[in-house]
Amino acid sequence: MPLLTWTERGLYCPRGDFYIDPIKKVAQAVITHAHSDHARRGSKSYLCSRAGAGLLRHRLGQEISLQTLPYGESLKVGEVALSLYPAGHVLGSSQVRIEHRGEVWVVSSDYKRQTDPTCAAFEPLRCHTFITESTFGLPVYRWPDPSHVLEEIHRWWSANRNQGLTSVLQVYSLGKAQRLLAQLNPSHGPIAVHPNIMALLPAYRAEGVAFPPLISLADADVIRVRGQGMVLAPPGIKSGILDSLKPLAFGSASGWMHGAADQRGQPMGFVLSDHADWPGLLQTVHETGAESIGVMHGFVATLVRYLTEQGVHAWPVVARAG
Amino acid sequence: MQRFTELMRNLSSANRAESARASIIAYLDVAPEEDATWAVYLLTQFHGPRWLSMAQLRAWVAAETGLPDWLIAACHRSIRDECAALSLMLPEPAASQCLGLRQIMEERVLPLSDLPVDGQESLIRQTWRELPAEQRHWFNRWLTRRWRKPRHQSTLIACLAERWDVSEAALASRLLQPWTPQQRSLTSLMQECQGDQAMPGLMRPMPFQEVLLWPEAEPLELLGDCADWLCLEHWHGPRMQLIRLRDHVVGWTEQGAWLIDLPDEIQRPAKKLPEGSILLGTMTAWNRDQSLPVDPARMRVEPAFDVQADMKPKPRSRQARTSSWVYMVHDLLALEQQDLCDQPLATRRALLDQCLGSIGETAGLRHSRIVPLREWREAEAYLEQARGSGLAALRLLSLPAASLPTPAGTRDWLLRLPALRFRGVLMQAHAVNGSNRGKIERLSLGVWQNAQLVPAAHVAPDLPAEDLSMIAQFVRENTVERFGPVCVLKPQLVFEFACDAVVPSRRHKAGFQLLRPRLVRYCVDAEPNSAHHVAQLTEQMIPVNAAKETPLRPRVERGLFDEM
Repeated sequence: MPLLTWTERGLYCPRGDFYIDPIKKVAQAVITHAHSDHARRGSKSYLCSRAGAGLLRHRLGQEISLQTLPYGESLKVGEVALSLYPAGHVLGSSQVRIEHRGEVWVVSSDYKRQTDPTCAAFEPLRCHTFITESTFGLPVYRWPDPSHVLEEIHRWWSANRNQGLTSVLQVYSLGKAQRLLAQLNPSHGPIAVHPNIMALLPAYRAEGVAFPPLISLADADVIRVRGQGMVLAPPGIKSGILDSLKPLAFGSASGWMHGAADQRGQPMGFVLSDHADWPGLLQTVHETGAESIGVMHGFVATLVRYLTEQGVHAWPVVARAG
Repeated sequence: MQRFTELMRNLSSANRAESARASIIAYLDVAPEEDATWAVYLLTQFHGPRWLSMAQLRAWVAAETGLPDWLIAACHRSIRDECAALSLMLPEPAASQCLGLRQIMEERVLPLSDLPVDGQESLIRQTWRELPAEQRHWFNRWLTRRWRKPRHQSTLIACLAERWDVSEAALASRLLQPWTPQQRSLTSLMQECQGDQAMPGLMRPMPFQEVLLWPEAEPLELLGDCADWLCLEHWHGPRMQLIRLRDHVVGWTEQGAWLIDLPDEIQRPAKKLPEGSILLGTMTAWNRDQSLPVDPARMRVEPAFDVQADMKPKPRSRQARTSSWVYMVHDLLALEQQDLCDQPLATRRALLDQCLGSIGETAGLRHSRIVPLREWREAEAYLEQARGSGLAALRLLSLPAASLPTPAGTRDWLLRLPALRFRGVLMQAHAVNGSNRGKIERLSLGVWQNAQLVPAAHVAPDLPAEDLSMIAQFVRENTVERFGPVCVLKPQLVFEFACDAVVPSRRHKAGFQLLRPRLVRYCVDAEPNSAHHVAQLTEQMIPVNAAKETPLRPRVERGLFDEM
């Protein structure tokens, strides 16, 4: 019997009777990280890394039944030994390692290989079966050095400030926003954040992540940001709360900005992703030494075919359902 | 090249002229002159030939990366922009060589035309290894003729004019003429502009006066006495100002395109016009005393190319040789560098007669005929009678009024041929890519032929919002097959569409092409069987020899003065 199998409720471990990032309500859910496509309400009990507990409670409510596990510690669940290791995706993101009678399976969930000051770095784990994500599983996705991207963002900010524009950088509220906030240089000007982003910061601060002085867009003195500051806001927010800060210059930081070099009229794109790029995926597959690779999320068929042609036993996780 | 790449990135994302201006000034501040010259050339003139096909480029990327073809195709599907996809697949160079823009254009791009395929491959792969992805992207675009000039050309001209203290008009006029960075540096170009400023009465195109379409339902009697109006024939084709400036003749179309290399049949007689003349008229394709119905919006114009001295003009096609261009002159806007726009129309027409009389009768430059009207109904009768001749409309000009500046209430009207109306069945919907993804961009309507639908009209979905949402839902639920953005639909919805004329065509499955097709309405209760048949449309066909369909292709510079 395989240690993990795909069911209509998500990735299930029959020997431990738990689900990993279930898509429906279950009795026991192991949550890899607090993004809404991985952490869903309604399950009876949750297990996540100790570092990710604050974010998970913020997302799912303080009343949830939550057990935490420090990275690297093992927990006996049913017949298997379960342990969590850093995935480097966002604060508290974990790879799930399951061991049963010497056989080891690892579920990477979302992960990245680049450095991020807001979360522990990804650790490649030796295993027999590795289930990887493939959000950016195409050779066109190769991330530039994040320090260069950060320099570009600061240059853009300065150029906007010189023209009297408020820089508005559209980023995901959880993960990307905090990663950037922790690295933005406040000497360039005041920094404001959308209330949705602000609400997540206490969980980060509780884990020792430091941020520069920030103003909430809901505060009255946000007007200080106008014409010189940087605003971090979730994608799609273009007016309303930003109206008092006009004129605005929009930018966007995401892995999907790759290949958008001459898209006219689009915001300034900065290639910054919290996922592994193509070389990162292949490097990880190699470093795990796994005999079998399950692929989920994103360009599944492409990565499976490529790995198969390279002589690796690869299979799509969802297609195995049933 | 790194600076140019940054400039391109800034211009693409600039949503205000000030941002574009700041980016251009920042670039000109730091770029070496040789690179800045090439940048100005690329942003205003360059189109370049197609040195390579995308298939060749794909093959070389496959050889360079070792990636299988199917994976390269998958990347293209994901990124959509193939030049960008191919650039991103290649590995990043260990250390960037910091090649300059001039170096890339003169040492890596232009020499390609003299190299055999092996040499081209080696040069291109070598360049790929030296450039970062974003720079490779532009390099690939230049190679495959997929270079698109960014917006903000007018801002560029304003920045250059301010920097070198030359007038924008002089600079625009200089950039209008063919030049290459190999012949002139930016400084010498600017010095020439400063010299130009000393010349009196430098000519620029005049604004086009607004012409309104006369509503079909309204009686012409509302215009008053027809004796107060001048009625001119108006032919199919782009409205254009013909400018005789220095030793050359150029055209400026209403759509904002410069026609630099006008056909000989127009250029030759126009050169006999007095220096500093501006004519207003329509450029139309002509064959055997008959105007060919050229739709200005669909007229095919080849982009200008003059980067290489050895580039030979494309020989005219057999079809093109059978027809010729005629410039039908309506009005004279300037003469000997004197603006005539404040003169009464009658005076301008008299001067125009004098002007055209002085150069003699020519085939390429003709007076647009005056239609004598005693009463308004004669105008409608004239149009109906002229449908087969290729006449597009009658233009009504108020006799006592000056042409420019435009008075508060426009006094020019265009009386179009009464539209031909048909019913067709919706066959295909073309979805939009990019930021408006999912919206319907174009609808294909079909008519019946032997119990089968044949595509007849491709129209923009200019319909009320509720009809559009109904169509969008219909497309979602009734698509039987997809070809990229094209959804093939179940033949159920019937629309009424209109056109100006039905023209024979060998390239269209139905055997005809519609001129200026447009959507009229959604026929709510109509059954697909109620749509028209091919035979009913061909009855209305203008008898034109199919060989005359393709008009000549003058060189055109599009967008240089977009914001003027």
